[in-house]
Amino acid sequence: MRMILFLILSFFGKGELGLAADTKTVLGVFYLKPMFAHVHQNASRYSASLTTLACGHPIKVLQSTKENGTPEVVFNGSWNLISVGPYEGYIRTEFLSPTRVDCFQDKFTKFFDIFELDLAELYYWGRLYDLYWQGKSKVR
Amino acid sequence: MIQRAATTFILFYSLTVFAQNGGAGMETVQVTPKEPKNETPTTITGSGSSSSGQATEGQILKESEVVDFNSIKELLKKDQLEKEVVKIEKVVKTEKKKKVEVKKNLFNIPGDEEFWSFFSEYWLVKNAPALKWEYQHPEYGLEETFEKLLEKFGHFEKRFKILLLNTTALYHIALPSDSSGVILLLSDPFIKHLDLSKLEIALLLFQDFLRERMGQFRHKVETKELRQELGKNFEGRALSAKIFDQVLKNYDQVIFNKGFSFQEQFELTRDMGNLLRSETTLWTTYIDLLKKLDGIVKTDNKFKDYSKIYPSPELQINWLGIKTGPR
Repeated sequence: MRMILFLILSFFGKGELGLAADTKTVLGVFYLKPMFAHVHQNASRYSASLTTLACGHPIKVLQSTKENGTPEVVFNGSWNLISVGPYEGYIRTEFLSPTRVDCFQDKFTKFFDIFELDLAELYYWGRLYDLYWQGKSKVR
Repeated sequence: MIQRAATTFILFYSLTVFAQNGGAGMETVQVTPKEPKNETPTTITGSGSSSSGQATEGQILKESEVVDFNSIKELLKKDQLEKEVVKIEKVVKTEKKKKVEVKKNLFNIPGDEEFWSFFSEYWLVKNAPALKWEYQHPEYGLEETFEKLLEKFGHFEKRFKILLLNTTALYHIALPSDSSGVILLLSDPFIKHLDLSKLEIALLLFQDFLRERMGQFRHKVETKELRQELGKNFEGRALSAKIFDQVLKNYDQVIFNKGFSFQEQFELTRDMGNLLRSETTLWTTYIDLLKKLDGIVKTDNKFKDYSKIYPSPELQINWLGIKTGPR
């Protein structure tokens, strides 16, 4: 019986240890570029949204280092692990700016207020930026 | 002598407090005697010897922070502090002006450059359930093909956003954005049904891009009231939300009901023809695309409204001087 208990504890203990070994350090503070964007549970545009952020929101970008592994900053090609308030999740790299950004809702505060966006609309606005396929033609 | 030293000290103290407050309270300067006796200004300090003699503690503190410079002009002149006062007053004036400016800017209305990208997205958000764009989008990899097409025809540094819709309520359209951008909407079931190649889709998007550049959509949805407001400031007056409701309705009207006129469609087809005619592959692909569209409009009831929005693929083919026949 004791042996079984030991094995069970060892198993969970190992799991916990595995998580604890995944150390995270703050790389720096970045700012959100799009009007609204979602923090996702995983590094995918279809992953569940943890919260919606507004343009200009400061975001801590994390570096994750696994035990005996190389540090990871970019996940799944174009995602960053971030921390915002109580949330820790993923956001598209292209949405982050190392410097403060000029946001529409700050620039035209009273005009923006006229539209009285509700929570569902804020959510959809964030999803819009998740789902766009964006591109830009080259310089001449 | 002692009295003079004390007055000078009080003056310095008052100036320091004034400077620290950035001139705050200047507008509530207390009235002090204009012609002080014995050239000694009646400066109210926090010492408790206020002019009223019965002022409360709060009043004393407030009064100690403000100075009527006019009443002590002579003394300041003597002590060569006048320059300092002018300097401080200038700083206060600039700060006040800045504050007024910042407050006024809160009421700015975006100009053309910023309004359209905001409003097109606002329309997309408002119509999200109807347009069904929130679904797992297939990865067609259209960005690269479309980028190349833009570059080929000299549209450099143009940003685009492609949004796939899981509905045929809207087939394809370009919404206005800022001067270097465009929002391209594309019905996923529509392109699947037509079995379009990547190049055909890119040409369809390019046609929409050109239409947007020609201002065909913008001219239809813009109202006189909106034009009057863009780029202005509405401080001290109400900005009616009705103006924007009307523009939303106009978006709906153009996209779902009225579409574009024969004249607009002709001009667009002519421009497409002029661009593509010398590019054999693109030209034949474009003609094939129009033929596919013509076919689907004539044979599938689901897409019969297409000609109502874009009149009409058959006419486009004729305008391009291509003979139509049974496919």
